[in-house]
This record gives sequence, C-alpha cells and structure tokens, in this order.
Amino acid sequence: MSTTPKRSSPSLNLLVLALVLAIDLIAFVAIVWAAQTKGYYPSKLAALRSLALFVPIIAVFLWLMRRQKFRGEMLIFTAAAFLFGFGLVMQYRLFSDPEYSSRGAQRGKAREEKAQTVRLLNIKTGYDEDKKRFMFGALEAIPEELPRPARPGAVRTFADILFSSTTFIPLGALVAMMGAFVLFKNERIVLWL
Amino acid sequence: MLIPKILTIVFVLAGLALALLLARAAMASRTPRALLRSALQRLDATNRWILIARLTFFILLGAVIGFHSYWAFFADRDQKFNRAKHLDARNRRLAESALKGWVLDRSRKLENALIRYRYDGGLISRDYPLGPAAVHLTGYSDFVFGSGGIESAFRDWLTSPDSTYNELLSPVPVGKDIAVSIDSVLQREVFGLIQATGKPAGAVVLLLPSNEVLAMASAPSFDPLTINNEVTWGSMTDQAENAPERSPLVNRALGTLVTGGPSFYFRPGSTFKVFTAAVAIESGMTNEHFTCRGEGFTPPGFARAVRDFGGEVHGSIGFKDAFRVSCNQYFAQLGLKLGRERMAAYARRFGISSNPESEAGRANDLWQTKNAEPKSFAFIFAPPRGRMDLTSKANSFDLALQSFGQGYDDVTVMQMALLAAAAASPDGTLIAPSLQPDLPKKIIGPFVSAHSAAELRSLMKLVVESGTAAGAFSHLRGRISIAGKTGSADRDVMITNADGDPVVDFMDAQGRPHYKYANWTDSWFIGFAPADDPKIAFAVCVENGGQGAKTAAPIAAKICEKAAALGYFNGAQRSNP
Repeated sequence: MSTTPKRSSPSLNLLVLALVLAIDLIAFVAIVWAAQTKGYYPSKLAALRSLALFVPIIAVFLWLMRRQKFRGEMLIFTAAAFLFGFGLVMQYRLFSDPEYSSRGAQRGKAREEKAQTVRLLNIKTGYDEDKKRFMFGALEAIPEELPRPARPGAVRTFADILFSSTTFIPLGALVAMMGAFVLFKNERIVLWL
Repeated sequence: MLIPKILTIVFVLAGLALALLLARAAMASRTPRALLRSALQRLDATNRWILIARLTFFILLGAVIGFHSYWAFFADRDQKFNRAKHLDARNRRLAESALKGWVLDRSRKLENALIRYRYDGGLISRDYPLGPAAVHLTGYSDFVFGSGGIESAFRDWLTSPDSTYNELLSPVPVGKDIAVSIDSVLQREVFGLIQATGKPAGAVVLLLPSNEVLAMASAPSFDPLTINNEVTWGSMTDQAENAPERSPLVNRALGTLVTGGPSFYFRPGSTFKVFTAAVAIESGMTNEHFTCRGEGFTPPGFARAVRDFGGEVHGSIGFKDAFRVSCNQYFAQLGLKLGRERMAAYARRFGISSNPESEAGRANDLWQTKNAEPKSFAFIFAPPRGRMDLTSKANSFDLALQSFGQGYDDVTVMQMALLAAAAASPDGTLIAPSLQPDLPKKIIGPFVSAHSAAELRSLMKLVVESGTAAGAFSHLRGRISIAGKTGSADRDVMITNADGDPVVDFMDAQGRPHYKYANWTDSWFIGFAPADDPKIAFAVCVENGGQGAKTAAPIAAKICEKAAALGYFNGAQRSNP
C-alpha cells in the first residue's frame, strides 16, 4: 500500500478554473441583462475587469505548476479561485446598482433614475403605438435612454479600472501569495522561522 | 425577465456541478483510511486542524450555495416570506416604478384619460389631467403615503400584467388599463360649477337606466400631486381627522374620505319629500289635505311647532301643491299619518337604516363593480349607509321633522341621486351605481311600483315647471325639460378655528365650555332630465348655499345644459365606440 496520498490532477484543476470562468461569464451577462430590466446599467467594463482577473489567476496556477514545480494539492488553490469567482459575481450584483452604492440624498436620486429607466423600458416593450405617439408626439421621439448623470465611483473608462483599488487588491493578493510561496519554499527561511 | 432567470438557473446549476466536482476531486485525493488512522496517531495538532478546516470549508460552501438556492427558488412557498417580501421597501420601490394601467373615461380616448403617464423634461410620471376636478375619483398614489380613490380601489387591476410579452421582459410589467363610466368633460364642468360657489359642495350625475356615474365632484378639492409635499399632505390629513367638515380630502358626493373610510352625512332637507311622497303614493294617501298656518304645525303632545321656510303660509293644501311649493307643514302631517312603521319599511327598501344605532355602517354592497377587489373598492367608495331614527325612541315631533328631511335624516349626495334615479326609472326599481361602463344592471330592489314612479315623475316635473325651481330653470323652457325637487336643509355647524379646534362661546358657572355654533342652510337640488324620457339623474348639494332654488338648482340647470350639449339627451352621447 502506497503511503503517498493521491492528489487531484493539475488538468482537472485547470478544467475547474475554466468552468468557474465560464459560469462567471454567464452570471455577469445575467446581471447586466437583469439590471437593465430593473432600471440601471452596470458597467460592462467593470464586468470585463472582473473576468480578466482570471487571467492572472490561471497564470499563477501555471507558474506554480511549471515554474515552481509544485507537486502538492492544487485543490485548495482552485477552491479559493472558485470562491473568489462567486464573490466577484455577488459584489458586481450589489455594487453595480447605483441605489445600493449611493448614500443620503443620492440614493433617492438613484432610485428615481432607476424607476424612470424601468418606465421607459416598459413603454418601449409594453405600450401600443397610439400610446407612444400620445406621450412622445412621434415614435421617433422616444429616447433610446434617459439622461443619466455621472456618479462618483462609477466605472466608465479604462482609466477608472487601472486606478481602481478593486483591481489592485486581488492582483496584490496574488502577488503576495506568489511571494509567500517563494519565501516558504526556501528551507532557510522556514528554518529561520 | 425570462432570459436573466434562465441564466441564473444555469449559473446555479453550473455552480452546483462545480462544487460537486471539487468535492469529488477532494474525495479522490483523500488520504487512505488506514493511512489516515496511523497518520492521525502521528499527526501533530496543526495538521489535525488543517483537516478540520478543510471539512469546515466544504460545509460552509454547501451552506452558501444552499442559502442562495433557497432564496432564489424555494422562499416563495413560505407565506411569512411573501408577507415580508411585500413589505420590503426595495420590492415596493420596484413596484412603484412600474407603469400602472391608464384610467380612461367612457370615451376611451387617450386625450380624455383621467389617469395616464406623461413625458416631460426627461421624466415619465403619473399624471392626473383633471387635477383637483376629479381627485376624489382618481385619488393619488405615493410610495410613502399609499393611495386613494380609483388608484387604490382598482390597484390590483391596474398593476396586473397587460401582456405576457412584457411580463417576460420586465420584472414590473405594464398594468392593465381600465375605462370608467366618467365623462371627463362633464366631470370638469360639474366641478367647475360647484367650485365657483366658493363653498363646500358635492354633486353626482348618473347615466340612466344603468346608473353609471357620469360625474362625481366634490369641493373643496386638492391637486393629486400634493401628496408629493410631505408637509402639506401631513397638515391635510390632520385636518381631515380633526375637522372633516372643512377638509378637501372629504368626498362630499359620497360622504367618504378620499383616503378611505366614512366621513359625514348631509341632511337632505326638502329633497327628502320625494321619499315621503313615494311612500304616500304607494300607500294611496295622496288625497289628504292639511293646513299650513302662520303659527306652524305642532305635533300632538308637543309645544314646538314645525314651520315653513321664511314663515311661508300655504293654507289648506293638497298633496300635489304641497309637493310643488315644498310645504313642510303638509309633509310633517303626512309623515305622521303614514306612520313610523310604514316609513321604516320604505326606508329599508331605499337602503336607509331606520335604526341608526343597530344598523348604521357603510353600504359596502351598494356599487356594481367588476374589475375591482370588492373590499378595496368598498373601503374607498362605499358611502356611509343613510339613516333615519324611526325606532320607538323617536317621538312624533322627530317623525314629523324626518318626513321633510330634517331632524335625524342623514343621507349622502349619492343616495339622493339614486332616489332621483329610482323616480326616473320606468319600473321604480333602485339600481346600483357603477363606476364602470357597460356592466349588467344590478337591481338593489324594488322601491316603488311603476305607477308610483310615474306619479313621482309628474310631481317633480311640476316643481320645475311651476314650483319652487321654476325660476332657476325658466331659461331652459322649450329647450330642455327637467324634473326635480329643491331642498334647503338647516343644520347647526360647530365653528372651528384654523387648527380644527372648536371655538368656545362661553364658559358656564361650572366652568364647562359651551361651543359656538352657526346655523347653516344647505342648498339642494335632485332631479332628472329630460323629464319625459329621463337620460340622466343628478343630485347637487352646496353647504350653506341657502335655498335650493337659489344655489343648487341653477347648478343643476347648467349640468343639464352641458349634458345636452354632449349629446346625452339625443342618443349621440359620448359613449364607448
């Protein structure tokens, strides 16, 4: 009987990471779609940023396997990535809603904007042409979107993403993990500890 | 809305599959049991804790997925959750952002809508084009303060999805429209007429024979959008509670509050002689002659006398003339002759309680409705049940007073309009009013026979031709024939200050306050038109408006002119297409 515990294969873990990425993609699409029916427009750039975070995750995974020749159990890393993916979705669902992320009087304004957007959507999809004409004068006069003022903290450009702590924190965490791995792989440091 | 739901299901299923995959992988790579046992013996505490942490991690993972799955898919089955969901401010806010159905008038034209949406300055908002002219009908709607009027009575209908397609695409689908029986042009006219008096007033116009409400107006009024001003709305609701007689929230046509619930009654004055006359005709007592004296009529056993308005004296007078000139003394004596039991029996037929202490309440089953939730509708629109005191406690003086609309007679403007409509009805039946067009007639019950109704009609025609209302309608002679009855109802009204508190007149020797009262004469007119082929019935009451012929009857005349202009008398009325 072998005394070496069996470990999950790296390819299985990689497959799981790919699946996590795939279902996150589905989740982000669902959130963006559902949000529009609830009257707000989540930043698609922020969604892309969240999904793009899987690139360094997979890169670290490959770095561990190939460069560092890690032969331990990768399941912990995969599970952590799974939870991270789950958390990303939840965070995106909550913080992309301007009403959730506003405070004080801004929250009331955000709520009203959401209501207005829902109403416009309903007019477009639920009103007959007579009603639309009656309300807007002509079908062509129906606005595509209602004007939305810029909100502080909203992600609208690449620059917003590049300088966002939401981007840096997970990247920093990955770098910290890599650093910790390198450090603790070194026997001298472990012995020193 | 369907696509995000499908995607959510895919997400959860895929998440579950992934968790299972992870669990399977963990199981596959677990330490062999024998090895684990021997290893555990050798393991130090740290490694044991890692094992426990790993197990805990999987339990927590299962809990998180289970928690989210429960709220997404199973919580709806829990009644407590559903109640909480309804109260959840986020859900209510979402519901408020929905487009409720439009409320169209009987023409069903968008431009005549009573409640609709408008787009103005980048904002889409619920709009009440008639504003104060119809607020007691339309009500209002607000996230914080709730709703009233039609907004409340038809809320379920107005918020139920109009189309499956829209329901699939929106979490708060567009609600269903509803057409009500109101004629927006006539409604505006009626409100304008009563508002111009500068006094509290109410008016109801019914379309015969179905008793569909064409107009129902009340003054003073308020703009439905006042609800958006917290301070103003707060003071208005306070006033409605403390001094309803001055509150614009009171629907004087129904005697209810626009927010729901009963408010107060009116005394009908001589318009109630239509009721007493109906009982007399049914009882075959129309040949009586009584004497109307300057000193008044004193019921047997009493020292107080019943007198006529302004001390008028009619001498020996018969039934027809007494009705035409509205002789109080005649009807007081007629009422005594008819007797308490007979009056009580017809009061019950007419939907009036003869014993206010035991039977008072609201006429919850009065209306004919279709698309409203009955309880919600009754809460808003059921008027307080009319009442008289015909119990054994009421003495002959009380009965005499009640026979001509004074004393303990308590009615609403709507009730008096229904009385006029019953008189106008060819078979003398009492028909339920309706706020929706084209509903089947709901017969409340027979009031008088067809023959009696015909006699009542000729009596009421006489009032307009040569009686108390002749002057008010003289300009319409040859154009529109109208039948009706005037009324001047006396009542003492407690004087209140601006805060609604009663004004103290004097303090007696024991230090008790005696409040100040003013004597008001409410001006009434009820009737129908055209007199020979009735198409509409109406009732108008102007508080402290003086004699019926002076204030209410001219308003009724203008209502008839407008109804004629709108084609209601020649079959070309603005009806549904």
